[in-house]
Amino acid sequence: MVSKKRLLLITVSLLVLALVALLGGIMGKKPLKKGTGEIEQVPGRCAYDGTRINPIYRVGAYLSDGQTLNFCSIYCATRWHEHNKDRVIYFTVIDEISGERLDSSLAHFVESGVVTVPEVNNRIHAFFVKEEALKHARQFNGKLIENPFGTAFVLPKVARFDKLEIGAPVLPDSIPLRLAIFRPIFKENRLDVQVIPFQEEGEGVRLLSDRKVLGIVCDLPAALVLAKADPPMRIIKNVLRANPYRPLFAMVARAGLGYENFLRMEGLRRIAVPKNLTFQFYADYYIKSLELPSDGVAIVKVENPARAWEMLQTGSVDASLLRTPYTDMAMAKEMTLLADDRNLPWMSVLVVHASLIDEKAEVIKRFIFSLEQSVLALNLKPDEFRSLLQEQGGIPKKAGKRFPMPIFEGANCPAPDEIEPILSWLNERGLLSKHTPYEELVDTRFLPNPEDVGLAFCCR
Amino acid sequence: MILTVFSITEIFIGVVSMILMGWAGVFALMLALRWRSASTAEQRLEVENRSHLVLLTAVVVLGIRLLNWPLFYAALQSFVPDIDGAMCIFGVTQVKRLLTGVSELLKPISFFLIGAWLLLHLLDQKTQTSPLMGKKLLFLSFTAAVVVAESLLDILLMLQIAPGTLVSCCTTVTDILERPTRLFPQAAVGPRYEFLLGTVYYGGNIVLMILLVVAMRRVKAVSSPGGRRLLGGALFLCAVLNAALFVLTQVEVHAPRIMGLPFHHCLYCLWQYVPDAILMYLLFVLGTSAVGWAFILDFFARTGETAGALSAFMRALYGFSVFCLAASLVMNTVHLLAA
Repeated sequence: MVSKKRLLLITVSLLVLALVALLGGIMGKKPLKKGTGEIEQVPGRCAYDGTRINPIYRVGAYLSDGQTLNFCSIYCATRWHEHNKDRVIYFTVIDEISGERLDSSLAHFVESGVVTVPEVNNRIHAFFVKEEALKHARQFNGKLIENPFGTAFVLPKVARFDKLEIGAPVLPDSIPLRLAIFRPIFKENRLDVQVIPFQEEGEGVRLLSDRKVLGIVCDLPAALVLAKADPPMRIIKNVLRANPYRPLFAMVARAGLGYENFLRMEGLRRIAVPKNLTFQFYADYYIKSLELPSDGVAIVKVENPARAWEMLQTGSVDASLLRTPYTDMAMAKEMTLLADDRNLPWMSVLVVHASLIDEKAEVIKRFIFSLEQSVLALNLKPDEFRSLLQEQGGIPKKAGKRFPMPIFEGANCPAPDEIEPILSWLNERGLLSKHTPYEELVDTRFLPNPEDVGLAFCCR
Repeated sequence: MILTVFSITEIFIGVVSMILMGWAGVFALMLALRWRSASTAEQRLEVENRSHLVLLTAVVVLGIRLLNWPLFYAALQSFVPDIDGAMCIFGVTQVKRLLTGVSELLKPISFFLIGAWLLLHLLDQKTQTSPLMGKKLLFLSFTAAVVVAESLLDILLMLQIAPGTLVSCCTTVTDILERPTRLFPQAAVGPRYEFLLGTVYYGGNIVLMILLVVAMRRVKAVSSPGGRRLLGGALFLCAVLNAALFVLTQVEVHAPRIMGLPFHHCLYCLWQYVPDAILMYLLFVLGTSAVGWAFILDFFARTGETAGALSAFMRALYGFSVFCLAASLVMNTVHLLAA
């Protein structure tokens, strides 16, 4: 028989070893640790096999339960996905050229001879621009392949997306929308948003009137007219506003013509003004504020701001009414701003069909929330998204690669006193009564509490 | 060659043990042959007197070689940062695949033989007339040959692993769906093989421990040698099968859960993420080996003079085995609960 002393010794030894195992289990260097209910991933380690993650090849997964996981390579992420088909809402990959994270469904994939993560022998590369993908394939004996996460991405039942189509001008104003797709913030909020780009304001208005889109981003004067149009619309959010350092709209004098000289000019001052309602409003407002005599100004109507800029450059006109990004280019060239909106309260806004507001109230709420998350990311990390601005913000190549990111407006809508001068102007023109109730123009109920808006997981 | 504290120690131990065990092995063989041919007590005494240095050398060197197994893996682990693509020991083993494979296979054999010889020697030391001297010397020469081969492989491996070698690591081998550790059990028992493996792991260990406790009580000096050898052999076979089951269960079921990586099946990764698992494995190896050592002792060391001590040794070995297996089981269970 085992003596009591020995039995005690054995029991104590086993308890000590159990304690060692418990401590080892808790304090071990596991790549995934179970915290209070949620699985917590150790930063920098792959969630599939624990490999150290090289940030340029990181793949992120956003799960239906709100968790995020990071993988060292596309190889590991696809292997993990095989076992978790019904848990993933989206994957993000890193564009090997710019180093920016993007939704995997927007990427182009190449399988080549170049190994990215030798630990797992990963040879699949992700690119945002197809030309770059083809260039890599040519250089390294590779070929374009289908999205390794599946062309027909099966979403979990709990994560069915609501579809929205939004029109956006090819201007910096569209960047919050573009980023929310690129990253993908919309998907994180269970939205499948498609952006329909348009060049001219009129084009956007047509898209909206024909119900091809739920809403558009446009400037405030046009939005106010739209609000009382048939079908009626509502302004639900501010997008981009001028600030004391960067105007949105400015009347710029041609090179060599100073402020005083422009005012004292004899004869007609030729001013190029793009053809749309908003530019007309700003032109009238600036001419009035400069106290120019009505017989001393000749308005030259042009197709768009690009043409107005071109005429200004060639000296065909004495001044042009410009909008960002041309206003920024003019400032960079140290041209004279005769009048601008740096101290004015107007902005571009998001306007949507009034009839859809009640129908899709919850969807619009999530949409606005996503946009707020996008704005937060853009304002917090402007340099990180500069290439997106370059590619999709309508920035002319001449503006250079260092074109600064605008500061986008957070959760806000135009205030009654902000729209009042525009209403008066529209009233004078017979386009809209200045007594139109504020509630029939602006709907503020979708704006989230700014304190509730945090960075989306894909932007952290 | 990659210079680390472990690789230098490994080479030093390798060189010293190769030289000393080479000499000890040859000398032990000569003495064993002399012992066989010795017909008088004087001749045997002379062999015994001449064997002291060999035995002392063997005890010291083999004692150190017992620790060489973990040291070998510590050396491989220390190479991980210098091998491109290696995230654990598996990556390092891919640099010189054949050499490392043979070396890894030889390590447990060497460990087992060394343990068995040391116990045989210890048992012989407890007798008055050294009745096991001949067998002990012969066993030593065989063990020495294995140790020399193992040492040589260690040295070659340490010298040949070059820094900066590009390899792929465990994920591309251990985690593929076609891995044999998954295919065989799945083919045998179906898709619920993971649950069954986990159940059989516990069942196997508990049954083995019960058998060992029963055997511990039955081992007596008076019991029949044939029956006892049969029992010892059967237990050893059970222990080996249990070890195979242990490895399979660890790879397929427990290691991924303990690591918190449900699809990663690499035991080397487990050791680096959960280092105390090494202790758990060591306990299991000792528990399994002890059953084999008891069988070897019973096989080689049964003489009239050793009968009493042998029974005590076997009981102690079975008891030690039960403790080690139980400790390993407890640690594994705690890890699974904490995972």
